[in-house]
Amino acid sequence: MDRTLNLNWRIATVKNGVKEALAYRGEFLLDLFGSAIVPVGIQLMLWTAILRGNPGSSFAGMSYAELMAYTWTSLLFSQIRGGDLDFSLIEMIRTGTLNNYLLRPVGVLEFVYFKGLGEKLLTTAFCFSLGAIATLFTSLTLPKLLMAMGLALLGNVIAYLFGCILATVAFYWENAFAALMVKNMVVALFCGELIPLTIVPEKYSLIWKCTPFYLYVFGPTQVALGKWDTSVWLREMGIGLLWVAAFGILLHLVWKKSIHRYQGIGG
Amino acid sequence: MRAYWDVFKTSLKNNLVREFIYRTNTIALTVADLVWVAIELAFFEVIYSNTQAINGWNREQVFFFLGIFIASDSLFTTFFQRSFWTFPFMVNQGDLDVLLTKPVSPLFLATFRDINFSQVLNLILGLFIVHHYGPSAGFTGGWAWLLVGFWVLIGLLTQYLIRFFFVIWVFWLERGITVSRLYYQFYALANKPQGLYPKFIQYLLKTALPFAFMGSVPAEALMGRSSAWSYGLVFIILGIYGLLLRNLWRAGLRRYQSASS
Repeated sequence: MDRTLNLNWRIATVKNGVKEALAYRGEFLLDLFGSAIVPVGIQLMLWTAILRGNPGSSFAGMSYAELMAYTWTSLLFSQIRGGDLDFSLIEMIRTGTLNNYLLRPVGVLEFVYFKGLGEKLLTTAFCFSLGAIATLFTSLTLPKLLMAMGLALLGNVIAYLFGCILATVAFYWENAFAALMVKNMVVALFCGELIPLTIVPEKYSLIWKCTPFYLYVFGPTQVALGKWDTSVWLREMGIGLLWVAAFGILLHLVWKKSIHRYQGIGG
Repeated sequence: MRAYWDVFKTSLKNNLVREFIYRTNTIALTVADLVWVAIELAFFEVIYSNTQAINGWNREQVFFFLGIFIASDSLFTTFFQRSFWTFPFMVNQGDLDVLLTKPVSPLFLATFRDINFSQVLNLILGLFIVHHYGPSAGFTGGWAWLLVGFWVLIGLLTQYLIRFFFVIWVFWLERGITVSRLYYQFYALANKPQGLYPKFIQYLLKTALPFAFMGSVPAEALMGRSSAWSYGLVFIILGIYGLLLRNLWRAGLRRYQSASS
């Protein structure tokens, strides 16, 4: 069977990724806890500080309850976005361990993605379970949660493709770490993880609207909260798929050109 | 002490040479660090475009706090960040062996060996922010600039001790990197003024996890909003932290085993 259509190696790679994550269960959970709970806790304290003692008042048009709902809901999606696969990729290029992957009869980029997808699917399952429990107590519904998870997973693909495009800088520079750090910092601000993007002043809103980053956390959160109805969700999924196509083509081109510069010397 | 100074000078020279060899990387890292400052400022700019003050902290005071925080953080990043990042790997892979055989403190060698010059601009930028927002934040300037130096160094010492506290567990854990990474999550508590947090968290940030000494307490002291007790508290807590870490380090070294050499 043509390996480009073969699902077996892909499923096997994802399974390996899941096993790898579960091999260090305690650390997986600690990592998840640290990267999810602490930032959310800080946001909750910030909104409380701003609106404490002013019941009924609002912040950038959002009430205290809305800010709380946004923060808690964004927690479900902030862990699905991104990951550090692009950092792994630049390390492979820098240290020459990319050799091991180039020798395999599968695409490097796809292989790295599926390897990381195992852990991401575990995280998604965990977040989905939390969301499903939340449907019992809040206005969140299962269909909305599923739609939002779909958008978040699409955001994860976009994040990976974009990270890989930047990672190709490693073929030209000694180290592309800085490029990815800048990307991460910009994404953290414009994905809606730190603040709801609706509070960004109108004159600056074009900045985040022109990037796909809002599809990572802000978009899914809006869907889950019911702020975006099905038609908006469909439109945003379409926009997301266009970003995937554009980044996919761009990645194919830059990778094809850059890989010629790669020299893996040694055993 | 002479040996330590010589080691430091050699380390400084070697790292400077490396930065010049990998120029593109150094420039890129400098840009990344500047973007980090811009993001920090942009975050509060967005917040303060919607409100006048948060728990008694207005925009100028928060930016003044950020200036102090950025200055002390840049010193830590310059001298210690990379060494602490690689520390868990060094213990796990047995590379600490080499340092244990040297006639100077292995802790000094382990934490002072990888210097990163890309953050030097941030120190200047941090001090510029302090200078720019100081008058409107209540900072008197003049001789008080000496206190800025003092508090920046306190911030550096605090970050060193807390960072060390998060990596020391590598001697007892299989993969200490997770706990080490957890530091960066809690670090987010430091880059916001403590006045934004509830009382309990403020207490925590001045005792068990003294992130407040990296920016909040210094900014409050420099703006004349704190008492002499703040100074006392800083010395007591950092002293306790130092003693605790010294004992943990010794216990960790006793536990350390390596078959790599």
